Amino acid sequence: QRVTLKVNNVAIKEVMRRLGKMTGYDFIYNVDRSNTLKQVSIDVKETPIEEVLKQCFYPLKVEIVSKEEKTVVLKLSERSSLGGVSLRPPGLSQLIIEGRVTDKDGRGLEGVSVFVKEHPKVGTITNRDGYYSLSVRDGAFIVFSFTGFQRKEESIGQRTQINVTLAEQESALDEVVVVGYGTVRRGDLTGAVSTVGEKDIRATPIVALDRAMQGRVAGVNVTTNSARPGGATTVRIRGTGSVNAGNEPLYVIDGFPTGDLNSININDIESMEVLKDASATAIYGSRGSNGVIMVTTRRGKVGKSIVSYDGYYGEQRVRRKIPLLNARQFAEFVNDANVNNASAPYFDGSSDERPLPSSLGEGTDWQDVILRKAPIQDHQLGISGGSEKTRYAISLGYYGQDGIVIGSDFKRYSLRTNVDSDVSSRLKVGLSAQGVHTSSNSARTEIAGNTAYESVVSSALNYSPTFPVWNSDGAYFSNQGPLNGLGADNPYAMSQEFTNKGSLIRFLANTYAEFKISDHLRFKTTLGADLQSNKASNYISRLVITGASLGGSASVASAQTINWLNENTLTYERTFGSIHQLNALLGYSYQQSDYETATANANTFNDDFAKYHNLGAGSTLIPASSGVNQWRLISYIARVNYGFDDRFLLTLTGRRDGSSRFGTNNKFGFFPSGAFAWKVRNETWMQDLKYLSDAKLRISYGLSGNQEIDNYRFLANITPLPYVLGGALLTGNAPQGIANPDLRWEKNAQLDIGLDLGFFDNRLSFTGDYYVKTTSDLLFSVGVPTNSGFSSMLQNIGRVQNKGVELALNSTNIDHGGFRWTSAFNITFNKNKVLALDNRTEFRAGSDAQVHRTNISPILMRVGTPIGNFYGFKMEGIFQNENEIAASAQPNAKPGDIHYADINGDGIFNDEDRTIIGNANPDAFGGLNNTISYKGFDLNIFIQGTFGNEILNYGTFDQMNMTGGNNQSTRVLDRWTPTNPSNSVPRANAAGGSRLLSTLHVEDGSYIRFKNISLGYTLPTSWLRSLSVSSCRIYITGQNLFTITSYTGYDPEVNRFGSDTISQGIDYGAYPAAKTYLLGLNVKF
Amino acid sequence: LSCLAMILFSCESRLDVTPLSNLTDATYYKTAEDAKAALGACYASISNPDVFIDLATSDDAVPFLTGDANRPLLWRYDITPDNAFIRFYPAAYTSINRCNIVINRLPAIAMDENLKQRYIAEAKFLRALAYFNLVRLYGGVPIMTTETDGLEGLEVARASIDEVYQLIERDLLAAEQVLPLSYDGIDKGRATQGAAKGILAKVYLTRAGTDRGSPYWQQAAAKAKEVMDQGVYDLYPTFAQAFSLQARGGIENVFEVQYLTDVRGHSLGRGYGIRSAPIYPGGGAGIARVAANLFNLYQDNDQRKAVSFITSYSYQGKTVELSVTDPNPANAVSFQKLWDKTATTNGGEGTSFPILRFADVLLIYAEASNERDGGPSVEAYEALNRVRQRAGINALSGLDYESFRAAVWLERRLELTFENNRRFDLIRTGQLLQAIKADTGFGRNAQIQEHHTLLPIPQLDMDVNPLLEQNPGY
Repeated sequence: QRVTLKVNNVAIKEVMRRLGKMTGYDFIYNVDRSNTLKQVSIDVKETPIEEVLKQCFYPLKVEIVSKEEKTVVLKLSERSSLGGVSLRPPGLSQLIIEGRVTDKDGRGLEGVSVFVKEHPKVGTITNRDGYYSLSVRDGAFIVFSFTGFQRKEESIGQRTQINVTLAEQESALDEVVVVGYGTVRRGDLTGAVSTVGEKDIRATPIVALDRAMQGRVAGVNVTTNSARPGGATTVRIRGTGSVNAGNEPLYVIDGFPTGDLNSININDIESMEVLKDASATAIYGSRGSNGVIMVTTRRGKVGKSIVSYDGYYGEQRVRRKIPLLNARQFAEFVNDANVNNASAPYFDGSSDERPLPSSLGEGTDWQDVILRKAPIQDHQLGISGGSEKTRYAISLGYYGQDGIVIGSDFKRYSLRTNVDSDVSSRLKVGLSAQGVHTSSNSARTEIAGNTAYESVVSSALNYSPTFPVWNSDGAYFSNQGPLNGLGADNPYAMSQEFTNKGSLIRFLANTYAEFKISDHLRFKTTLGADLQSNKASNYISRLVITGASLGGSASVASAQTINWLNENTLTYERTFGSIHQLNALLGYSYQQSDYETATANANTFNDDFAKYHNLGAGSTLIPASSGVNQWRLISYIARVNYGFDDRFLLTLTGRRDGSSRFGTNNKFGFFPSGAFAWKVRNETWMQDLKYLSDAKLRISYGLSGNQEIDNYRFLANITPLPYVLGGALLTGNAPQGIANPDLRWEKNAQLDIGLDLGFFDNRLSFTGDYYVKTTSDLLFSVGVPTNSGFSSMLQNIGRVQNKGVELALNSTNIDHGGFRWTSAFNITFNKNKVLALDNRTEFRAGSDAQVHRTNISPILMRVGTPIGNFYGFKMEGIFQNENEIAASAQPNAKPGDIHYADINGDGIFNDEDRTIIGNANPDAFGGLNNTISYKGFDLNIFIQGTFGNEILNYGTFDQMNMTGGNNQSTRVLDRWTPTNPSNSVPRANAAGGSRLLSTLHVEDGSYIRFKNISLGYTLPTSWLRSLSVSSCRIYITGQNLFTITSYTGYDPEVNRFGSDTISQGIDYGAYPAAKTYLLGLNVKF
Repeated sequence: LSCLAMILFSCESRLDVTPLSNLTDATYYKTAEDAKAALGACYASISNPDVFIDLATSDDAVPFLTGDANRPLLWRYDITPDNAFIRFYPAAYTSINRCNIVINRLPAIAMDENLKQRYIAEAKFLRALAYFNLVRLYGGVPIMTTETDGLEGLEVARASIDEVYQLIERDLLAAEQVLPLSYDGIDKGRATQGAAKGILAKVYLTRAGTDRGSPYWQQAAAKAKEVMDQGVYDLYPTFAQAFSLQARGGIENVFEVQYLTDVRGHSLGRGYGIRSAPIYPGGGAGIARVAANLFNLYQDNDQRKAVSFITSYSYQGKTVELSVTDPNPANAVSFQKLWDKTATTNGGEGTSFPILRFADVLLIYAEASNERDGGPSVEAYEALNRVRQRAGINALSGLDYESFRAAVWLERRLELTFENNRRFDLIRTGQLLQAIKADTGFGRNAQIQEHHTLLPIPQLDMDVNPLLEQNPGY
């Protein structure tokens, strides 16, 4: 950096103040030494700052000790060659105070300002290891001050040694926040951006970083789709804006937009910034509309090398089993069902298979058979450090989780290296690279197919408790008779005989070079690649139904992704006349992804020995298949930040994005945004408000887009269709869909009004945002009349609105005598509404929500209501007698059958009587985090929940089908009988009631969960010094210990169809959720 | 800088990314090969024939009662538009659209003109077949005769039953003019002139309904006779041969859906086989079992009984005797008419599914000529007795109009069971309600009413086309 400065006989302090204003740096230096200097005169033009400093402090020698974002620490010392210059002798009555300043981990802090409170000019700074020595003549307190840390005062008294530990500043407005293509001080933010810090990311044992946001960030709703190890999550930032395009946010990992979070080691993450409003996300243009998560991994810092180990080991158990009938209860139920259908009781004592119910006991608990206690562990070894020129951070990680369902697990091995190097004063280069290998075994849960014999959980819930695990000959017991109407398979056999192995090798690397063209202009270029190689290997042995029919079935599928990115930005940063701050950015970006797959299968094996390792041994040939998918994105980026007098901030951004995914007529889209912030607290008329330490008003509006649809959707692709003629296999061709050359971006316009307040030195801080987010040109797979030959087509129709309020409150409740209690609370209220759908008022949403043995899509999209309504009949109760039936619209019913509401009142019960019976969108969700620390102990209690959402529990279709063809929930013990006039559970009836979707299947999904309770103890440094350990903490954690919910399935956090937008909140055959206990250790050397 | 801008903008053409693995409709339909594949897609669309609707809504079978609840609901005539097993509707239109593509696109393709006209005729035949099934199941349906290439004009109201039949007749008459009598080798299985005439005979038979004076009887008899006189089709000497793998492309199936064992097959043998019996790859599914009242109708010396039904099986030395009354589906006498015992995989059965069998043509002729002539002619007897004698039962003689009609109806039931005829025959002859009410085995107690002669339009299809009107009663 170069400066132009002209001063004449000015005090050194004043010169440094001016330099500070010009360069944007705070200069910290030993005041006691510089006090020896006379006033200085300087006249320089475009001179490097180093040279100017040299002139200022002459004759002292000046060294730049550290140079961080905003702070430059200078060390002044005597020049040995200037031995003749005498310094002012110290006073006589002085006290020399010595000591060391450390951070919470015991590391010496270099460059901390240490001064006497009463005489701020009497001060020094700490040396490399944190030691200082200060001469004090009078005064009662010493102040320790360091950027990024809380200021601390100590009374001097008679002490000559004062050691202090500085705590990091928690609500620092100076904290640097990562935003798209740059960073900004939190205090200067104009958009809605939330941060999840390292502590929160690592507080709970989680596999992937998206779960770290759950309950911690206002506006972000995180739902685990499947509790299986490595299971995915659904993340919704400010509601669901799209129907058939993706709704998941964009993840940008060290500048590289990418996905597949399970293969990112969360221990490497330093912070995650959640960009929520359009002003923050528009810079990501076509991918910004669902929010952007900026992930920053840990980088090396100048200083001593630090070696650290972090690890935990724990055990998981099922959180809750679904209460099912035991053998005797089931046998009684089956008899009841048969008798009600005018047949003879099945369990009549006539044979060994049909004993009298009274002779039966508990029978087999199939849930116990497939569930287990399973270990979970995580280990991370890291080393980081660096010199002035080069900083590095290297880490090795291992995460291993066995699933609570037998045969499922997930393991991750990772290696990360981050390096930054200053090649010259103008050129800086760096690298972020991660190599990872993950491997997993999946149990058959939440799988497609919807037949009980394909899912181990469905089989365990449906298989009769009167069945044993084994035959007398040692083979798996199997029965497909009338007690197994759903065709379930032996659950234990399924857990043993299916092999579903997944393996991923991934290399994600991004390099950059930053060149300083002038003091104000920087050019940065990045080149990165995300290379993934996936392999999925499956085998189904001949001992389970699905495998037996195929004689054993093996498949090996491999996929390869090559995704690369080049981004180039030019940044201009300058302060004019000390009150106008300008930061402008121009950029160009190119990203391309090529995905290829190949799959081979074979069936009919002589034995199950080789599994999928020898496809050639299969005697049935199945044609191999392969595929390819490509997309490209070309973007132009611009942004201007303008700040006036530290009071007004203005941000304007724009991105022009071109995507290969859209119709030839609409490849490019333009996404502008603007934001304005007013730092009210910095107005002169606010200066007297003592308790208010911060106040900022923000307003932003902008457009962002969504391109998360499959490739080539604008074309009518020709698909191959095999057929047989003349005894030969031939291939026909027909279009797969209807072409749409006008297919274009989904547009998302968002208004955000935000208020940031801080009280009592920001001990209490509040952030509130109100937003209105309107998605138009909705990418919507419209159900088209099936007489077209097709069932749906992707079009840009309709509008959806999300409106909401987000509140976040952080407070230090108590900080007294070493006892510290902090709380972080957030809550979000989001209202989702479909504003328009083409020109129709409602749509039944496609067929992707069809579940087990019903032919209806349970989802209705209706204008004026939220996305994802459950649509079905309303259950009024149970018919108690013939009179009630006669008065109803169901003349063929019998007492004990379900009485449905005749919604349209026409006296006929039919499909016209369906209505909206629930919705998966919560009215509110949030979290409360409490941390209490005292004398080395720390206690963390994290509570999280959602309110007002419903779950469509498809399990009820099986567990309360009342036929006796499969096991039932214990809820059927209260079934209607002439002597038990239940009004909620119908009668047992082997003929089968109608499987009509109704309010019987919809349940309240609200819950409050103690997600994490953790108690830790940090060992006193005095114990550790001899072991050359600088810090050590041990802790115990319980995850999911208590959940308050009325939901009757395994867990209220469930999504059978994953992140599929229109089919949220559906539960069928889900992997059971676990609670986890663990013991952990953090050590630093 | 301008150079840089040039480079950047020239990159934008890189956004024109088209699939490397698929053709698109913009680049397709240019060559004779394309034409053949386009027609192939039409044949592919009929490879999933549904026998369940016929079995469950007639009196021939009993579904597995504690299994999938939607199946017994259909059997008990507790039918809602939500029922998963009535969704033939969209599949038929997928077939129709593919046929429309062939009919619309082929005229522009430069290729052998004779072959082109034949391909178009085959597509017309398949289109007529789809509409014939639609009109019989659901009544009047939307008529689509152009290819779907956009969203315009897709919301179409239902045409009348007459209008649908007019289209069917027009297509079949046109196809009949062009299609060859038979094919060689690799083309065996394609629609023939006989297939078009035979289906047309069935169309006329259906249209004649219960009207004794209907002119359609004459037309049905004439078309059936034309097929009989072609000399292309015949009955195999034994009933079993007609359903063997060797019958593929053979003399008896006037039109069939072909399969290849373990390559591209069906699972009609296993699916309707004895539940959980280990003799099938994967165990029998027992979707439905034969009803006692059908099984007991066969004379003991009727060859067809043993070919159509399995009454016992042996596995690993143990023999299991099956019964038509034991409620346990693992002991149920089950269908095996189309079972390919050589298949080693589930879904790999290679026997052809007959859409129209020569025996059917003979019985159409017998029935229609009896109606036309007010009594059985020699030729009518001959047609009926060819079917009976091939089955190993006695020839009939000396019957009056009524008893001959009854004899043909019974023969159709015994001969054509499991071939998608019983429901349509019962409706055509006005016997559905009475037959279903008379079928009380396994506590059927079906709530059948007059409107049940048509199925409801499936709810999913109702939901996407606001112009569709549901059939009355649903």
